[in-house]
Amino acid sequence: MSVLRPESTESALNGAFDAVKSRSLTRLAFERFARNKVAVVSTFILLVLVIMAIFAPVAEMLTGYAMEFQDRNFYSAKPPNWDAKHFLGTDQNGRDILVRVIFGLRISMIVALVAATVALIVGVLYGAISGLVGGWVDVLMMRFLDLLISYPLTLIAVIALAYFGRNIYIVFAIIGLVEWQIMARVVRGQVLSLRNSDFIEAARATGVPTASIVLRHIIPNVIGIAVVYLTLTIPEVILVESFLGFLGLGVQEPNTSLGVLISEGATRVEHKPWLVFSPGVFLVLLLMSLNFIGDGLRDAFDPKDR
Amino acid sequence: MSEAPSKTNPLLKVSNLSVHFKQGRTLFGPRPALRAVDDVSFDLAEGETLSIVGESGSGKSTLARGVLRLLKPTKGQVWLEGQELGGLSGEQLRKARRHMQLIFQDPIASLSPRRTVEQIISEPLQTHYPQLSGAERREKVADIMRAVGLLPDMRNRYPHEFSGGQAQRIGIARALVLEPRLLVADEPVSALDVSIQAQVLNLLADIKQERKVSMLFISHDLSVVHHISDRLLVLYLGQVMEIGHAKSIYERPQHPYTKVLLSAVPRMQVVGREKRRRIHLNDDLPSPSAKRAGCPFASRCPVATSQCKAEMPKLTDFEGRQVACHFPGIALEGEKAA
Repeated sequence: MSVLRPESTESALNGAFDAVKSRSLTRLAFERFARNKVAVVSTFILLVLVIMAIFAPVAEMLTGYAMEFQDRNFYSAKPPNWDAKHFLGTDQNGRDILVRVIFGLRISMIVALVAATVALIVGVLYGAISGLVGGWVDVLMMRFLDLLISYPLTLIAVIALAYFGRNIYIVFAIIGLVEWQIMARVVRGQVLSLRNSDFIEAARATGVPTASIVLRHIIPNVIGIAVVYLTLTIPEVILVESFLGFLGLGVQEPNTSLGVLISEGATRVEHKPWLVFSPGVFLVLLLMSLNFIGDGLRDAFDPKDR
Repeated sequence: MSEAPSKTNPLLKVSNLSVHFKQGRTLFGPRPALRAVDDVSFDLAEGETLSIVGESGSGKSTLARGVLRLLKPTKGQVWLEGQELGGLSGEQLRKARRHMQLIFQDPIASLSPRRTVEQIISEPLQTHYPQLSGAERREKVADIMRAVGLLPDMRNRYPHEFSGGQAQRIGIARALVLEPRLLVADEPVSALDVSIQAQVLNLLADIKQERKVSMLFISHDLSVVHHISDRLLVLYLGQVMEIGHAKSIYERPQHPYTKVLLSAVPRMQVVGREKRRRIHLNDDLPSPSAKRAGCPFASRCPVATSQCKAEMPKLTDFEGRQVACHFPGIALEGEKAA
């Protein structure tokens, strides 16, 4: 065998390697996320909001006003009064706005959690199956999505509420069942491109069973994009709930959500602006922090950055 | 070089293999199938390297995937160690895959971006030898990493931390860790720098010598193929044009297409030797789905006759090899008669 033998540079290359610490893609993504100041601040704000929502009853204890308590001295929406511990004022029925906003935040977050979880699970499964199986199954599943997406959400919500009665968990499920469609499309696209990638073919050529290919190679590469998309779905879910609440299709009194509070306050915004101001600020904080986190995650996971 | 491969019991026997792709229907009936690989037969002896050459679109990669049954052949059989792969059940085929491994063209893309080198190289072991303990597996991975010129210390690194040449070494290690009988290398160096190409080719040549593995080496680059092959198979539009010992084909190509292909290889001009003429072809490669009766090369062949356009020449013995041409050894313009 007559083969050219250029001097070997391998050992030199190998040596230079030891100086750099090895970092996985996930770790690199985390480091990029940590460098993104807006995203880090948003994470902090979101954490504060989550803690407030979880410990909402603490607000009742601190102010001394229960969520449904109607303070006779503060009927018909009084402005903030620090002496009476109505820090953000009261509503039409004399209920404390701060306490109600925090409980509304809690409901909005439960909506986000439930609907987003439904969207994630249904969307990822549906998209992955559609992409992996392919062929006419894929065509059928995607056309069914087209069908679903062409029905307006409000119509579906009204019909479902008429049928199942006004139960907030039904509302959550409806929102989740509408929002999973885009997730399914995103996941399907990712699976399609993965399916034709060389490293999947390498696994098939070695005889790795299909189940292991899905577990080891497909899911780890889909989960990043699914999580990113999830953080962008949550704000949408919260907005949809607010919208349904605005139409009177959401949660029922005395429970409330940020959307309901805003819709109530919006009617009197000229004379009693604090009614809409406080829930509005909370909603904006929540949505913006989620959006910035989603953007940060997407940038952090973008493989083109490598 | 190596002794003549024993014809009696080849490791790999491919007979009349065809891979056609359906192209859907038009209003007036089905479109003609794309004949990526058409009626290809060859043997591969133990320890032998057969190179498959041809321009892009000639069906080289499809042939490799048809042989490995990553694509289902339309026609034909593949025997590996006397076992017909088409007759195996899905599970049997999956088990049989440990004897045949594939090396990819794009080394980085062939490695899962979220797995460490150790996970990548040990996946074949996990799949076919689940009884191995973690320590045994680690040891095998370390051995194979050393064998392909990687430091075992790099086992916990990720593919994105490697250069193309190193990544290809990882790909080779993954292919070798099961000690396969057949290695299919699909353009293993064409994505690498020229300096790195030589290193990887040397590695493959060493592997071939030390491990007695049979190799199908696919390339469009005849200068790369030169160093590594025992025999050569020239593919054009999915059909075999010429097949025989590499050295004799290089020295005396008999098929007009092989002559054209070899004339395109850039070479140092040796003083005193007669000047080589580059033979140019004008047209592009015809569509592999076009209907044709005669020789696939007839549309571009400088010496084609009406017989060539009407009748497909059979692969026949000629001067110690097989040539599919009505006029084997015919001299082309500007060339001395053979």
